[in-house]
Amino acid sequence: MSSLRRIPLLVVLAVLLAATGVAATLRHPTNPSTLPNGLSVSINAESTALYCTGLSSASPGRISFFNTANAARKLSVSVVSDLGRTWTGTIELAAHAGQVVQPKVVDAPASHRSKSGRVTTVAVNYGVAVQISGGGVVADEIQGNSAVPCVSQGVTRWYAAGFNTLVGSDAYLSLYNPTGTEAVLNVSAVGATGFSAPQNLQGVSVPAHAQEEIDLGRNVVNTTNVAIGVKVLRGSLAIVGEEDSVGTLSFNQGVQAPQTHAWFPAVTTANGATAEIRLSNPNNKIAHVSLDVTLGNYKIAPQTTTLGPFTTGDITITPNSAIPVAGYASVSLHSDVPVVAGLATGTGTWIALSSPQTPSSSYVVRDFTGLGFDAASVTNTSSHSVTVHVTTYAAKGQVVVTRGINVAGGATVTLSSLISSPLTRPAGTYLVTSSRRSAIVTLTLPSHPRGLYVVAPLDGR
Amino acid sequence: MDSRAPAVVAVIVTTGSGPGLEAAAASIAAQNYEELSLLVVANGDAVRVAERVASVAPRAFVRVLEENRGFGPACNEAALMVEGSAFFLFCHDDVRLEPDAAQLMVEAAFRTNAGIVTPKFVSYEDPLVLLHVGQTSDRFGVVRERIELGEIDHGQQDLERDVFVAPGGVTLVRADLFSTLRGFDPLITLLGEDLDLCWRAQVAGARIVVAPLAKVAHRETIATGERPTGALGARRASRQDLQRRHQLLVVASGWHRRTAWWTLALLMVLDVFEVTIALIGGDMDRAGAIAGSWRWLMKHRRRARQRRRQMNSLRVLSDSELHRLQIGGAVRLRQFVVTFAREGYDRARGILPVEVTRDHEAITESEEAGVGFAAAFSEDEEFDEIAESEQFEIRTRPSRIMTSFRAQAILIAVVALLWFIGSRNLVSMQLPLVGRLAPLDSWWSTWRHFFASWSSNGVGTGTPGMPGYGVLAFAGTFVLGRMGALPRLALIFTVPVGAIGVGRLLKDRASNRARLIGALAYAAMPLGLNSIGQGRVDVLFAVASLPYVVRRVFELMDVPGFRRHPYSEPVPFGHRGWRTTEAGQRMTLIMIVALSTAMTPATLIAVGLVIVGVTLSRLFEPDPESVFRGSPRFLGSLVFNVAIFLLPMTLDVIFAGRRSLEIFGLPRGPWSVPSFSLLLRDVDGTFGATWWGWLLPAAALLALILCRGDRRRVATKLATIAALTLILVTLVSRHWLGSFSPDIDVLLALYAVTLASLVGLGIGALEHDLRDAGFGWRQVAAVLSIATIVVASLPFLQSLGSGRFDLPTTSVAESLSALAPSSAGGYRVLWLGDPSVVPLAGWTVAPGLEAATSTDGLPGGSTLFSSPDSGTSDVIMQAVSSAMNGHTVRLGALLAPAGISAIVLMNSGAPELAGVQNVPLRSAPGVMATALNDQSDLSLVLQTPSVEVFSNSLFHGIVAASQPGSATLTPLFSTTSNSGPLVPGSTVVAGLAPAGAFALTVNGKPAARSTYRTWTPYYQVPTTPTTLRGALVLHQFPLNGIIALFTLGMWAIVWLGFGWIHRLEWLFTGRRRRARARGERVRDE
Repeated sequence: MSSLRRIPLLVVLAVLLAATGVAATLRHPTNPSTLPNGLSVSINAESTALYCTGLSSASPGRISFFNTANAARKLSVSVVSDLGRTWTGTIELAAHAGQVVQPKVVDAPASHRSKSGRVTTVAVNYGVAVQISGGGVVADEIQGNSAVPCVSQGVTRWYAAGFNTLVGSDAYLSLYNPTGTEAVLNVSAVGATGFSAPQNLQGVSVPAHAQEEIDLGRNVVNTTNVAIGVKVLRGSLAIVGEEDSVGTLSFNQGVQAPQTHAWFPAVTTANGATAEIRLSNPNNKIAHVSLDVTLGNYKIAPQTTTLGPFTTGDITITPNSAIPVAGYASVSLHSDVPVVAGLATGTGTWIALSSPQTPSSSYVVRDFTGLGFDAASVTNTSSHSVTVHVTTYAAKGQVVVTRGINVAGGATVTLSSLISSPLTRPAGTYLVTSSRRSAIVTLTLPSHPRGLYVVAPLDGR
Repeated sequence: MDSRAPAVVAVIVTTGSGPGLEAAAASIAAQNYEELSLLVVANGDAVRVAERVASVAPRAFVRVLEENRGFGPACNEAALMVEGSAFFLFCHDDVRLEPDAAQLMVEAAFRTNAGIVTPKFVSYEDPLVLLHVGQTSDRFGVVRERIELGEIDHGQQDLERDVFVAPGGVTLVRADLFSTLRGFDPLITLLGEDLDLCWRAQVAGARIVVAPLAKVAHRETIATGERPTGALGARRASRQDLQRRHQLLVVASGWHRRTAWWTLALLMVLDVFEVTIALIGGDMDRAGAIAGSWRWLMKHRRRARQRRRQMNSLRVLSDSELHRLQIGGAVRLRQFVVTFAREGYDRARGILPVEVTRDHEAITESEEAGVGFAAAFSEDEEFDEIAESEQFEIRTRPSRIMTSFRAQAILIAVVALLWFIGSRNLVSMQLPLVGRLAPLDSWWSTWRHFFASWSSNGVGTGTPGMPGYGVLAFAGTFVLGRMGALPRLALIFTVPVGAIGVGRLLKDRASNRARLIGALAYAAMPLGLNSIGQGRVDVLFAVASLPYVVRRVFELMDVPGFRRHPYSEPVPFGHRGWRTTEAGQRMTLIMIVALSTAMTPATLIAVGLVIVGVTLSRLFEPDPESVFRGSPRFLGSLVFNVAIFLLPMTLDVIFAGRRSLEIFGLPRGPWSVPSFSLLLRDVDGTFGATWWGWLLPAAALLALILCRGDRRRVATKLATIAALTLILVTLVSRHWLGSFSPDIDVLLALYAVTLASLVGLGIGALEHDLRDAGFGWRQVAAVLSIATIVVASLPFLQSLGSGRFDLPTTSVAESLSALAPSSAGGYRVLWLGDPSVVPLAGWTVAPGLEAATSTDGLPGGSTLFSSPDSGTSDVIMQAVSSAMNGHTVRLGALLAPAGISAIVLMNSGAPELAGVQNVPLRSAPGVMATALNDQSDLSLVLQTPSVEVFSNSLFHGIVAASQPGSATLTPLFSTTSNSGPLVPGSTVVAGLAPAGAFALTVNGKPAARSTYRTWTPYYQVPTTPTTLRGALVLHQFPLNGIIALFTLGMWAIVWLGFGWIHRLEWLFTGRRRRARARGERVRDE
């Protein structure tokens, strides 16, 4: 009798133990290494920071701040030039207010000017660090018609594709060290001829809170579609790529890791424009890349290409006989191995680079460039529908309107119906939020042909 | 009417010289049964048989056969010669019957309606020694005695009963049955004819009965090899050959065809196993006998089929009914396993043929005396408890494995020697700052930590001192204040002490040998060695204490066999004998648990698991004889009393609020805890994380299967506790129980106790329980158990090489000693990392991230324990948490008020040095490293896989001052004293909490203090033009000291209660006498 009683006990214990073991085994705990960020995180922060780099004095770069919080914020701005000069100051930013800082102007105080008022030595590039007492402040760095968000933290890995170092073009890497620790990095390049790790770009050091510029053209000479990989061995860096294509400046924000999925929600197919997805395979495996192009009601066969190990390639979107000229196409990329992608738009004479967009749940849409928008769209990267809300910031800290729109899974819809101001004129400031972290908001600046400059709205990162 | 007794014809078959023929014939002639005739059949060589028989039995008939055709055919021949007889009494020629044997057998045949009756056989030389009282057989035709070999006849077997086999020698067979069965099978000339006849008789429905009152002495000249086997067809065969082939024939024809095939298949498997064993041992005779038997069967397969047909025509019993009359299992295999477990391989492989085991060897005096193993494990000398050996003589043979005191003592000595070889470097090496090996403060300082009103943990706290300091200080007394010896003693001796505890735990439940193996299994468990290698002295304390705690709990919960004696009658508290009362025993347990909990609070959870496990087990499998009731009350009373005994810690827990559960341990990072498979192997470290780590748990599982009776009840309870422990550990390791996260290593220590105890019980089961079980998986399990235990102990040797059980020679923390800022004002270092890695006690920030501070350097004796109440130190936790959540980039600024100069983020306790030291990597949350890198006021000064160190650019010392009109803080005072000159009008800030506990005296007068919107007090220095000198002074009511004193007093009182009040009565008596004398004098005056 007792053995009969023992067996149920042992069975119960064994089942419980097995269930616990299976549950514990199936759930693989991972050590999180990515710091939570985004507007939703920073809004309640005790302090935040924004870092911008690559601001040139030639075509005066500027930083445009906007305070999304309902309270004023105090900004401690620190500008450092490639000459080592620094300027620090504070800015009081009222609730829902914006302000622009131009490093070249603050870099030329009286001590640097001659009696005639000219600056003795003008720095070429600037890095800016902004410490904010609280959260909710976003910033964009603007150079010409190109704009990229300032970042809230440095990265240890950085990849970008699509640089040109052909005659007439220049490509740079702008590095800013936001930490109190000297940063050390290695730079590698992948071009049509394969992988290279220029010796003078290995073990590059960037002092604490300093800004450095690396001329890619000196190391990868006269090459088109150059992909860059940066590995920060020590510390972290704010990095941005710059492309000067026949006098047209553009930023390449880059990505922190090669991806198997990437999205370019607003790719021009306008007449007279060129648009191509530039790809790089930094792996030792062959990559099979496929592009799904969504363009209005057109059915477009997937565009595919194969990338050998450590090579680059591209897929032309415009002009492409398979893709009609019908406005903005939404392009999603799929690859069997992680690749680096970039969008190069232009006229055939020059190009402007932009990086793929990253899904998030909140965006600040603001006319940072002062040019207005040519197009504003939201893409749902997930297979589930999401509800997108648009909130309009009014002056004096008021939030005026909140409207919602449902976006089906995988669909791209225009925001023009939700953004009341005319898109082609300086518009207001909006907060676009989605119910899932799967939305991408993309803006394009007015240009001719249309859609040559693609900018990303600010998500607070 | 006159009735005649049934006629019986006694048939003596004699062969060759027949050394006992006369005695046999004479004993039959002397029978008091009147209708008995004697027929002597001379098999072959018949020289002088007639004369010899005539000399003792003149009325006997003698029939001479031309050739020796064997016993069975001779009996058949005799049966043909007789008519009208009711019974045949077939006899060997080496027997001697008691005068009433025939009569008693016939009476038994009539009384029980038996077809075959067998007498009680005793030794020819010593009639007090039993040989057979009937026999039984398994399904494979292997005969087993019903008595112990060498059993003395005290009449204990004198009960008439059914048996399966009537052993040859003297067998009474009903004549009609014999005729029905067609007599003995002529193919079986010798050895096995009795089994064959009885098997067929059983199949035919006849009963076989033993009549023990009929006594026959049997010389067994054939079986013992005294006479050769000279029968026709068997002359070139050994006894082993004959026995094997005849058994095989019986099996092949004794069952229905399908059963026969299945049984033969099983038998073939067993025979292959036996042949393998025989070949390994070079026993070619046995291997040849087994192979030859199958050859012989193939040769006579037609005869086997013919026999089966004949038996089917007679069959009354079905196969299942027949099998019920037999013994279950495989006798031969079981005997092999039991003998192998007890006596080793050489002995085991010699169990067949039977005669080999009957070699009597002299028992040396030392062996007779050395059957006990008591000195190391027993409170009192006791004898080996393997009392009921199947073969009494065997257990006295010198080839027994570890059953003698000498063998066990040698094994212990060897293991102890190996242990001290393995720990040789721990004696003198510089202990690294890993785990809980921070250098202890002096004896006096350690006492002061216990009584202190303020401690420097975190940013400072006024909570009561943890009782662990009291335990350490008390222990320091026994090493004459040489506190540095304590951690070494812990590293070297805790595991052996725990192993002895396991031995004591198994006392009365298993033999000394089993206890020894259980203890060794505990020492070989990976947890103990890993704890040494990681410097986890707290866990080692649990490793040492838990076996004793478990035994005490089992005793008090009345687990079968754990309380040998009833509690003594209640005696008043303080009198002698109080300890042995129930109250005294409970108090002993409470004190042990309190002591262990003071050092390792998670021990209390382990004790709870034991009580819950026993209770749960009893719900399914009650202990009928147990009188214990009320487990919840028992647990509640235990916890309550422990809480009283650890009053300072209890108060800390009460005031800790949401952190109160952190007293049991801080949550580890789910990514760095052992996987479930490692937990099953009791591994949390580098040692044991290989395949052989499975062996001991496997052995424990097999033990659970093998145990029977009371041992099984205990095993079930242990298994329940083990399962509950593993479930809890798994849940905790994945952080599924929230902030309740008892130290998993302490729980794994309990798991180790259960595993080792199960292993010990398993050995006990092999010794006692296995032979009661039928053949099957148990036997296989037994073989596997033994193999696993042996193999599992081997890797232990591998760990001896370093001489320090892989304890690192250097630690991460020691390499940071150069980080001390040269400035005055004092400084703190913030240590972040997994709780199992950080070398000091702190508080949790997030799973896998503990935060703790050390003041003015590396962790030391004052940071071994921390109250779960973080108090003001929460500002540090909040700042770190804020950084980790991306909510701040100014961590340096947030930590600067606490005087934190550097942040150390640890991923392991020691650096990995290839070929020198191998340490487990237990990474802090990667997001923390990212967050620290992102701080604008921290700079990375050291980065290795083991550690990252960030310096705080805003550091200004623990005590700092700002000059009048300036907001810049500069360090103030020296690092050794909180006093020095002050600037008039300056503001002094002190990162010491609680703010109210400190005062700044300026020229002896207290300065104004402000804590507006901050936890750090600001003191305003007067603006007088005179030279000012200030000092920070601690003002704290010594409440903690009073609580500590009360606690110590309570311990002392209870200790006195264990009879010491009675013993010290003379002291009180003396005072009373003097007082009485004075009183009397006063009255007289």
